[in-house]
Amino acid sequence: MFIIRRLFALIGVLIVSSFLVFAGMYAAPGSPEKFLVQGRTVSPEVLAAIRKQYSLDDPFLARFWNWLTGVLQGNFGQSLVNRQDVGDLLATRLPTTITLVVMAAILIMVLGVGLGIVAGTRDGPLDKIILLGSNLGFAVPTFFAALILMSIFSVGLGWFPVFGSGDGFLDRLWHLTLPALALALPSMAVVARITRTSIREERGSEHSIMAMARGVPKRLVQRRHVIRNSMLPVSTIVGVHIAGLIAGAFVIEYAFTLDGIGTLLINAVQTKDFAVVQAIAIILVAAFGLINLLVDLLYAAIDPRVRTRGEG
Amino acid sequence: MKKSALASAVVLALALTGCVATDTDAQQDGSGSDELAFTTPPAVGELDLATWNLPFGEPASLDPIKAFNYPENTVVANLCEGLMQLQPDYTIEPNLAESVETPDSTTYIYTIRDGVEFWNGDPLTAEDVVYSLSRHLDPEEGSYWAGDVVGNIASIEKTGDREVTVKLTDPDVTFNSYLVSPIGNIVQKSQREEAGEDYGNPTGLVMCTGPFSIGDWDQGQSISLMRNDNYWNADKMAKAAQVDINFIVDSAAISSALSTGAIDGSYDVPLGSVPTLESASNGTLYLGSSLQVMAIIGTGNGAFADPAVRQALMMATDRQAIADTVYEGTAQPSKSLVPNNGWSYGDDVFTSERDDLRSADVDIEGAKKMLEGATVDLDQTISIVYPAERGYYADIISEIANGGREIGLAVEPVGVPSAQFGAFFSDPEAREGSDAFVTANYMDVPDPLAFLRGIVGPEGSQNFNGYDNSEVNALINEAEATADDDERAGLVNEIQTIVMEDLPWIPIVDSAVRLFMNERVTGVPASFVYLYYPWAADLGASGN
Repeated sequence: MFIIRRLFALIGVLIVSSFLVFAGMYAAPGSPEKFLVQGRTVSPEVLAAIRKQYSLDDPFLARFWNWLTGVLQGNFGQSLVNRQDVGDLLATRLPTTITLVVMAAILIMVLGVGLGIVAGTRDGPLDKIILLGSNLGFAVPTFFAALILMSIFSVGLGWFPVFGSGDGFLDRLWHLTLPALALALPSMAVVARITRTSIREERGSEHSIMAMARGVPKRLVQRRHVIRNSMLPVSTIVGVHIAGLIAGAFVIEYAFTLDGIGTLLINAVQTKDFAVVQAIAIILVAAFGLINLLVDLLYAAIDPRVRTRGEG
Repeated sequence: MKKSALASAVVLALALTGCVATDTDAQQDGSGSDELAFTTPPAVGELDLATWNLPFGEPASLDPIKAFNYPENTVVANLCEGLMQLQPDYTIEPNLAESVETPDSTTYIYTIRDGVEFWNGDPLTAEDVVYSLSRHLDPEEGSYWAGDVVGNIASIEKTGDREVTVKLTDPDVTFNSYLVSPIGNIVQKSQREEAGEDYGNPTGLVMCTGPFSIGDWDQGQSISLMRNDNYWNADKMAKAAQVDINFIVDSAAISSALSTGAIDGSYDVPLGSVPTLESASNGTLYLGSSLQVMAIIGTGNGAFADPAVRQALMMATDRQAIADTVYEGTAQPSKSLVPNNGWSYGDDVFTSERDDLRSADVDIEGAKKMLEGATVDLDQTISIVYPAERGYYADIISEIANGGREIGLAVEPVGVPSAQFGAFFSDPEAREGSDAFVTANYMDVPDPLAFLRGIVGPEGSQNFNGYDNSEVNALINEAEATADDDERAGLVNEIQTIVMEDLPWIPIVDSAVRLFMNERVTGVPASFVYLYYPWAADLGASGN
């Protein structure tokens, strides 16, 4: 029930948000056919022909309805600018963005949580170093991190390529390593901080101290009580940050010249390419909603009380 | 590793702060040499593969009639050819037409060259020529070039086996020049019809006769040009077997890709990349003769609507400073709306008139005097709109504001998103409420008549403030019908004189072509012909 209700809510959000995006594009200044001819004075007949080809003369609601029914049949329409199937356009670009986001998400989960646990369970210089590093990581804006990483590891040392997203799986991983690192950096820092704090709180909690006092081995206490319990707030923050990665990925794609959907979106918005903007907006909202749903499920798995609360 | 990382960071920091120093260097270098290059050293050998970059992004289509901006034209110029061809020195030569005759001022008879084949081996026919030219007249084809020049065509007919005759409604001597542009590009009729809606996109592509055909089109990333080994012009056979053209738009990424050699070359490198590339050890930054001009366009609103105000503002603006600092020494202050050297005929006539135009030096006293003749309320702030993503425009406008302040005018830069800015050129509603906007403009063809006509002609595509002067209109008509080059240049000079008095646009700087090439490659033209000339065919090994 919990999942079904959430899925219905997500579909509602998708419809409302796509309507808003469509309306926003519609209201923005300038008309698509004028962008197509780039301000050149062409004959009214040509403009009329272009408007007809793209059904730009239909009323707003009719266009939205046509679009919506098209999407339900798996047809995202045709790009105004490229005259290509939007599905095809996305298909060539999605892999880059997805790989980038997944790599960054793995970095956040493994390095962010991992470093947080290390810092939380250990005192001394290691904790201090991680703390300092996380301060730094959080303070550096993504695009600046991209610039620094690129100038050191690509231009300076020549270890990584300076542009492009590569062909084939391994080549792609190689091309996307620096972008993923730049993308994950601020989130990694936040997650490490929160994990550390959360673990320290749990360490000082009554039940951990009681367990220790009862003679339960320290390792077991840490695993069963401290780390498990502290993962509750951590999973929320990880979820939020991973969802945020999708938007952040757009900045990174631009900085590293990756052929992802972010670059596509920027171009599409500039040319009022309705179908493309709509499709990407839908993907964004859907991804955001799904990740949040997954986080909630994870939450419920970690803490059974959440499930009952959800039912009640 | 730690150590070298630190060292790189320090170098980066130095490079960032060092920008100021490079500026002054460029200033000193720039003032000495007025000559801009038209060519680069010719290639001495062939290449298997060269890589290039399009700093303005991926082409939306390869259909010539949909090509009139940097990305599309720079690629299409290597694929599809026109009846005429623009040369690196801006002269115009017959190409797919071996000759052209003009028995009267409205008739153009083209003899189609024999032995030309499309990439697929089919011969070029007069039918293909008639079909290609006629596409501009068919609204269903949606040519972006339909309008001004094309609108004047009365008929296009096959008048012989290898002969096509174009008749115009009114005389227009610039017509033949425009055949170097996509207006004159020839595509194969049968393939166009077969491709249907997909024509020009990665599925349908195009079929042309140029020195390169289309290889892989990796969307969002790159497009490959493959040498056409069957090219009809043996002298102009491409020197590189393959040229991969990338679509990097970020200036930091462009600097990195060029300075590390990941990419061999690029036209129009961003201003932000100039300091890095000027000092790059792996290649050369060429400054080429250009047909580009950066200008401020009046919308007809506010104090800026008064010609005296525009004159005063132009005289008070330190355009040399803009050329030196914002353009990193890669531009020169404009003397005219017609970019320097922007002509393919009447050289002596244009050059001597240029010497008589007002100097581009700052003249505060003159500006103040000019302002006395203004009839508008001078207390209102003049807003100049620019695309916010291009920060250097803000620097240019604040330099204009500095000049304005000295003569008592308030000028304010207004940044709007690029998407919104595009509408300034197309939508009169977008221009309402603003006094002026910036433009980085270029001449379609090296003919001042064509350029000025677009700005001040009653039907000019760039006439944004409703300029309508009967004297100018009469001169335009007369020049359009004057076949003699020098005589026409004289008439165009008269138009120029009036335009520079009325000043519908304030010209700021003539920017140079900024061409960077890795030391391993050379040969491409340095001048502003890469939109219509198959530049990639000249790209070859330098021998280094």
